[in-house]
Amino acid sequence: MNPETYDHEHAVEIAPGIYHLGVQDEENVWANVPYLIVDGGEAVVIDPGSAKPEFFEVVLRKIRSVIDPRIIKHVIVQHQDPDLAAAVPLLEAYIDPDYKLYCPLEARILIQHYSARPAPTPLDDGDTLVFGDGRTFVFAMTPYCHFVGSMVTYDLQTKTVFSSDAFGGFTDDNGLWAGEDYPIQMSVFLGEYLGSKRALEYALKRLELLDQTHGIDRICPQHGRMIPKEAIPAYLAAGHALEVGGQVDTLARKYGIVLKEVD
Amino acid sequence: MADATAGFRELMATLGPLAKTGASRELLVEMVTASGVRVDADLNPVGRVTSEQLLKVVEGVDVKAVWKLAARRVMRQYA
Repeated sequence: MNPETYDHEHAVEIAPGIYHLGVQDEENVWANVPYLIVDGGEAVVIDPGSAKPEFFEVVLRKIRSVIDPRIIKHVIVQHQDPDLAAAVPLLEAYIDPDYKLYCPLEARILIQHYSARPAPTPLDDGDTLVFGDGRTFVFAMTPYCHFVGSMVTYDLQTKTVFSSDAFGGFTDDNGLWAGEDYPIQMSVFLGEYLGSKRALEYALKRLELLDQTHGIDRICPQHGRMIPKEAIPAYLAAGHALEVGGQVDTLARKYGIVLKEVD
Repeated sequence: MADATAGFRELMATLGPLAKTGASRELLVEMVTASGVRVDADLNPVGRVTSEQLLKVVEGVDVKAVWKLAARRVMRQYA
């Protein structure tokens, strides 16, 4: 039976070779969720997380519960926010010294400021990473959702989308999979953090295209809960219905600013 | 005093799922109680909620940034 919850000690294997390394941030009704992917004696970490010791120590402990960190040869950062990228310079002390760091081309200019040892390898839409015994990741850019240099990562072998902030949600519990409250938890998060409906629509339609051509069996966001295959259509629909950028309307109303409908 | 019961229900429908664990839940109930609104176990209001009480709830939930975000999002509909 698949586990339903996670803790502060153990990584949870949520698909073959994919481990959830989530860290709860109860104070902020929040969670940071890095992922470890292991294949053929090599490993990849996606969005390694925060530099705060109470976060990083959990992530490192969870990695060590699965592998010797020195087999980590690739670190992927899907955009530049510190809650997912600040741990890179800490993590590099424990992993393969010749590891490679990857990020969207547009995020590189910011990610350099974390002072990681290697210069980030820039990624563009459709680029791939092959590691281990031929496991292949495909990168899909999701510009302005919520940064110009944002992307998602697709694992061809397990049909898993690592969606970064997309499909993330505010949760203060330790559930792994989206439940009855997750639509609200996701909508509050994405509704506040996204500014462009057009960018969101592109990202959703890109994922729908990916689902049509290759199939998506699960969506693994960097916050909140993962979405299983059977729930994906409902969450895509919730995404299409989402109102974003509301803070602009609030402030415009406050100052009597009339905005042309452009988005 | 204006009736803000519908706004309160909407706010609790949003904040409830964001405050599911023990400590968060207790804190939310404490803030609601401090506003003078009486609620049942599911955070439904018992009786009428005034706009002043709703404002106190919104001010109270500012203690958590994420609740404040959610409250602001809901209150946009009632502003």
